[in-house]
Amino acid sequence: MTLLSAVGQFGLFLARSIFIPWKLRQTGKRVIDQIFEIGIGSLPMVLFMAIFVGLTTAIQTSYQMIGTVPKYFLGIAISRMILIEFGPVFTAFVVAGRSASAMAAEIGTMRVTEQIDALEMMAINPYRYLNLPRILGTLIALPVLVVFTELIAIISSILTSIYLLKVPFTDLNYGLIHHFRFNDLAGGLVKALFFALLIATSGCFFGFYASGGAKGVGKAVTRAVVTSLILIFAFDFINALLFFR
Amino acid sequence: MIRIHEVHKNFGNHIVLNGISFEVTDNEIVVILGPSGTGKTVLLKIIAGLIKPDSGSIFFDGKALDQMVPDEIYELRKQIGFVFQGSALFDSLTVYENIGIAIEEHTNWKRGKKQERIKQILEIIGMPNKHRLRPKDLSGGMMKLVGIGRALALDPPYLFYDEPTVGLDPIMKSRITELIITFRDRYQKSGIVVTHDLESAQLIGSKLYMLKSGKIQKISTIAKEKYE
Repeated sequence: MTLLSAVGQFGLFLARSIFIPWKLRQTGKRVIDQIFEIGIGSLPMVLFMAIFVGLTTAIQTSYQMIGTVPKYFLGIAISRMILIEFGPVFTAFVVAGRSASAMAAEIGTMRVTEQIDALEMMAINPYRYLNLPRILGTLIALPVLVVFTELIAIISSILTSIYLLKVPFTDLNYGLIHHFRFNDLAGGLVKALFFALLIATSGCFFGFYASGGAKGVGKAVTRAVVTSLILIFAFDFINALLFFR
Repeated sequence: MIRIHEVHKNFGNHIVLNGISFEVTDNEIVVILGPSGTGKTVLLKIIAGLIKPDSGSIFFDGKALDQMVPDEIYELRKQIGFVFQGSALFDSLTVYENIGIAIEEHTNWKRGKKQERIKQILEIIGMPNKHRLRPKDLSGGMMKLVGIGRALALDPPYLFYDEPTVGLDPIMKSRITELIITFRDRYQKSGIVVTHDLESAQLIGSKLYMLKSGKIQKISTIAKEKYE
């Protein structure tokens, strides 16, 4: 399969999953289920990741800066790094590893056990029944998780800076508050929306076209996660070029 | 009425269906017999529009399936109940939810009416007290029965069965055979059954065809009286 045709298939799949009558009465409940599955389900892992991202960011940033620039720069650097890059990207990694794989496994199993054919035969559009709730659920859950990650990571960074690195709170606060830019937060959240779209579409796409029994489902899961990660890296670069130069 | 006209299907160099033609008239069950791997399921899925034939046409009441737009195909599928070989029940849903899924999706019935219909189906298939169970809690035969119940949900005029009695014990086999006969005689359901179970086929079928080497051949017409 050439790259161009793969991109075309992926785009067509996304369009088929979104540009259909949503039938909110039937779809709404499944969207809420997905928000809980992706959002609440990922929370413990995201919390753990956010604490350590905050700790590491504070220590490594201070290592590079202290002694060369004023201490309040630590606050600026921490908030920008977390809001623009670490928050959205690391959260997307967690959701890709956890949810894209689950989506591919679940939909792939349904494909190889004829459950998707059964949906078709009951005149239920499988794109609407299976893919749309997962895509919408991820689009809602991921930005909320990103905000949660950013909050925890920043708190963790502040505590590390104050108690471990002995940076005065007034210096840190000056950098965090006075140099806060709403665009950094918004840019990170817009990025999260695109990551959500890529993660959910990858999970659903590879599950939907799984074949060959259990082995085929295993391959679909691997492809879904690998593709999600590659697309996150690629989109992150494009986003940086377009919005953060 | 369903008319299958000159259907061809190959997988690579392997010819699976080579000019299949037959008709299913109202209140009639056509049985396609044949050994495993002869393409019976492929033929049934082609008739249902799940697989595209290489050439040939399927007509439902005179309208060609390949001329229908997706919305028309979805409307047509509300007229067909399909019983899958492996039942294809939704693992995460209960028996009640599996049977009710099409009702939930396609009707605006009030809760009471939905419950009444699902209860009626559970009684028809002989599982009135099993509605809370999930597929993992069911035997193979029970899963088949729930699959049949799910196919009945919207009361479709056509029922397609893919190996309905395969892998079942004699008691369950005869129970399912009797159900199919009941649907034919009491509820006037037309349909197609693909099977390699000759005994059931003779009881169920109004017409019997043998599928072998991609070709179909009529075996005999079984009179309803024979069973009665």
